Amino acid sequence: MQNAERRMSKTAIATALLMGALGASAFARAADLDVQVSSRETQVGVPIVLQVAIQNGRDNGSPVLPQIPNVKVRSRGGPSRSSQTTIINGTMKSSVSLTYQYELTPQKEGRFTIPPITLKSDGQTLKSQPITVVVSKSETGDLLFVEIKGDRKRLYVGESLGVKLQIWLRPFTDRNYGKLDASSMWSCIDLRGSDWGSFAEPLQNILNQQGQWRGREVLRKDSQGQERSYYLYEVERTLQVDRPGQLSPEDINVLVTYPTRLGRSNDFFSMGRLAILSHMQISAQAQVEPIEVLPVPTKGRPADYTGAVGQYKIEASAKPTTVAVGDPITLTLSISGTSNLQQLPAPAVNKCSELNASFRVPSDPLAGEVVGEAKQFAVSIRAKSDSVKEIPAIPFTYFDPAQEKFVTVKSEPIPLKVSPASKLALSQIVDATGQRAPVANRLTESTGGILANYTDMDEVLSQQAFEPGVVTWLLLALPPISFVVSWTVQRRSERLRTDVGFARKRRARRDAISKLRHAEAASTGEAAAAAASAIGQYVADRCNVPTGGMTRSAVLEQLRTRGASADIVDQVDGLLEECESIHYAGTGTRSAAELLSAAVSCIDRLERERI
Amino acid sequence: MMGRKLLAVSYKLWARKCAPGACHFHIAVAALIACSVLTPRARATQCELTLQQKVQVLNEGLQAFDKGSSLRQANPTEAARDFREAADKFQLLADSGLKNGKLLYDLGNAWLESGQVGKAILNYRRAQQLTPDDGRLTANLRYARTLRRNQLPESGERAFLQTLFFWHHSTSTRGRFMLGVALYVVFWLLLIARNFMPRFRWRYVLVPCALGWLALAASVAVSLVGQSTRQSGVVLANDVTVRKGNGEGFEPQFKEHLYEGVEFDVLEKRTDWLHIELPDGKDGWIAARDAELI
Repeated sequence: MQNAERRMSKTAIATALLMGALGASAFARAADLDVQVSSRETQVGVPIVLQVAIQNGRDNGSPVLPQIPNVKVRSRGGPSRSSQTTIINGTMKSSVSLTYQYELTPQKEGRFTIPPITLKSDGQTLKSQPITVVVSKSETGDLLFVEIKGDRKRLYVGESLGVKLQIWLRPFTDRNYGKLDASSMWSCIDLRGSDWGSFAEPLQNILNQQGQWRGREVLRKDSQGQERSYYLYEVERTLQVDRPGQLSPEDINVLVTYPTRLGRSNDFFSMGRLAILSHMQISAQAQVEPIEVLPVPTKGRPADYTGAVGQYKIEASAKPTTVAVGDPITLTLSISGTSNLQQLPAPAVNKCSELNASFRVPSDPLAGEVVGEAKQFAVSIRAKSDSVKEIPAIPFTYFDPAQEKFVTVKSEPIPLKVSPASKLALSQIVDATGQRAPVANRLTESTGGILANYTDMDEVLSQQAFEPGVVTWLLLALPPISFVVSWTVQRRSERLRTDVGFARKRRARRDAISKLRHAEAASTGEAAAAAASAIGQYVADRCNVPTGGMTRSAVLEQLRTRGASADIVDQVDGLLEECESIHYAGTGTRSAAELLSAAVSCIDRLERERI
Repeated sequence: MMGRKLLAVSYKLWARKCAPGACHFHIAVAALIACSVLTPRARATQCELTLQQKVQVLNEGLQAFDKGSSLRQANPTEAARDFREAADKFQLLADSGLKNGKLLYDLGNAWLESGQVGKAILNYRRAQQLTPDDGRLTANLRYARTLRRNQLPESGERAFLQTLFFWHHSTSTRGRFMLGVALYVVFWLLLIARNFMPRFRWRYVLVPCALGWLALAASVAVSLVGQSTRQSGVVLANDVTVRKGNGEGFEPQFKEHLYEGVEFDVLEKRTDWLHIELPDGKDGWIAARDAELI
């Protein structure tokens, strides 16, 4: 058992080594070109698939597909890449292939040959063999008709034609499951495989809006003349006809995967729904009903006819209408009508004799702009003289296909006021001798036109809105406040100067306190005298009486007379009595500092009294 | 609330005992911050542009205008398109909240050159509110008025008042306000000086000063109140029927229609209708969609 395991492990290791050794050589193989078709037989309008596969190629270019007459070629996108590795009897083979696919749709019955396809790879040129394909007539029969119909059978060059692409598709009826509805039959149309020509865009719009192409059931005669039921699918567009003759059919080819058998699907996800079990491909090219495009007649064509076909009317407007001779006037011509305005040619204003007689008209062709339901053409004209009174009616000639004749419509004349231009006198012109012309002493301003823009950034981009804020109003209050303050100060100082009593009163406390401070270093007796003197002086200043006669009784009398409160009178009385005792009798309990402090206290209390 | 807090901070700084220089600096900074908070901000606008964007848009508008001017003779259609583009650029700047008389003047020029007389006059009138003493504006507005299809005479009373109060109509509100403030400050300074020099005959300078700033204050007040109450407008549509009442069912007031550029004063507004007074003193009703207010 152990020996067998050892042998197996050795074999595995050897195999791995061999694979590694051979691996490097596996990719060193020559390139190979393989061309195949999905079928060697097809029908008109039914595509086959051409597959070009390149194996083991390096530095490949794309295959060059030659032109094939009466066959439409369409690529199915970029190449697909695949790789394969095989090990047979210990030999490993690895290959990488690039595959290109093309749809070839024959347009004509017969046969066509796909020429050899060349490819350059690894410095070599590879070439395939030609392939012949047989094309038989489509087996569409009466199952499918494709027609293009116009809203008219006859029209003129320059007119618009409404065309309708109609697809008539015979509904499939199964014996067991009945007839498929219009929606189911619509799903059989190969939208991607069909060529829709100029109807591709309107068809896409229908699909975007409705999600599907809705058809309706109608009756139609088949090729035997028998009326049968068909589903009709229609899409419309407007065609601008620019060439006479029969309307040429477009290359429209509709491909349908027509069912041949219905049944219940066995697919788990379909849950037994009805499905198309087998089908065949049919196609039909669009048939155009005869529509004749007539050229606009040359007989009787007016000289100012510029190619408009339809029914139109013209309006004119001018700005300004008050000008001097030679000033530009913008004449705007607005033309509205039935046909496509984008293609509408400009009126030939330079061929309007009445206009050209009175105005200078530029010869450049007019550029127009569609504005709303009209096309506007603007031209700048200048009056030639001040005798011009109006802009004449501007004619516009068109060919009316309904009446089959040329019709000329005119705008309304526009009244003008033309003033003479200022002229140079001959004497003002410098003559050939080079003598200097006389100088003009006066300049007369002209009235027309506007003055230049402002272009300075700082000027134009500065905010000029006038919005005074609260701060502005507060600042405006400062001057009157300043005035009130200065007036108050001025009045006060004046009063101090003129009103002695007021001045004494204002400085009473200050002087009394100053006196008391000077007595701080004095003895008790001197402090008592100073305290009594200070209080007497204070009361005299407050009451505006002479200071000299202020004895103790006089002080008290003044205080009582002035309405001082009884307790402050008593306090003052008590302090003055004590000061007298100390000053005259030398008796007292308080020190100098205490006396002075008591005096200050009395003065402060008196300061608060209204005396 | 924020303003009060800032003022409280200012007061605390003032009350705190600090070096005088530092005190004054703090107070100035606080006052400046309070100013920025208390000053009413510009009205909210649809689009706010940076200065760089404004410069760029203005340059583009001026270039489009110049291009239109150069093409006016050779290709009027292309020129009209360029003028419209210039108008759009200038209008963008105006819509960004920029109130500038010269900008509105340029906008009026662009509309006039593109053929829109009504919009031109409308913007000239708006510019006049900001820079009524602009000579170019006066000239262009006068010219634009000559292009109107309706040339209505001005009533005598209106002309008389315009002549009498020419100084009110020909100067900007800001100019009158600044002059009034100057006279106002001089007046109070003279009053303060009078306290110190009472013997000088101050009434010969004080009275004219007082009359001056009072008249200017009244003029500014009339302008500010007038802007918010009495409105004017310009007709922008053509073939406008003036009716006897505010509805299509009312009979026309006049046989003739109004065309773009006609200026009017608004007497009354009702939903989609305006009761207007025309320059000749006549009145009627027009649909609000046919006009725009200045």
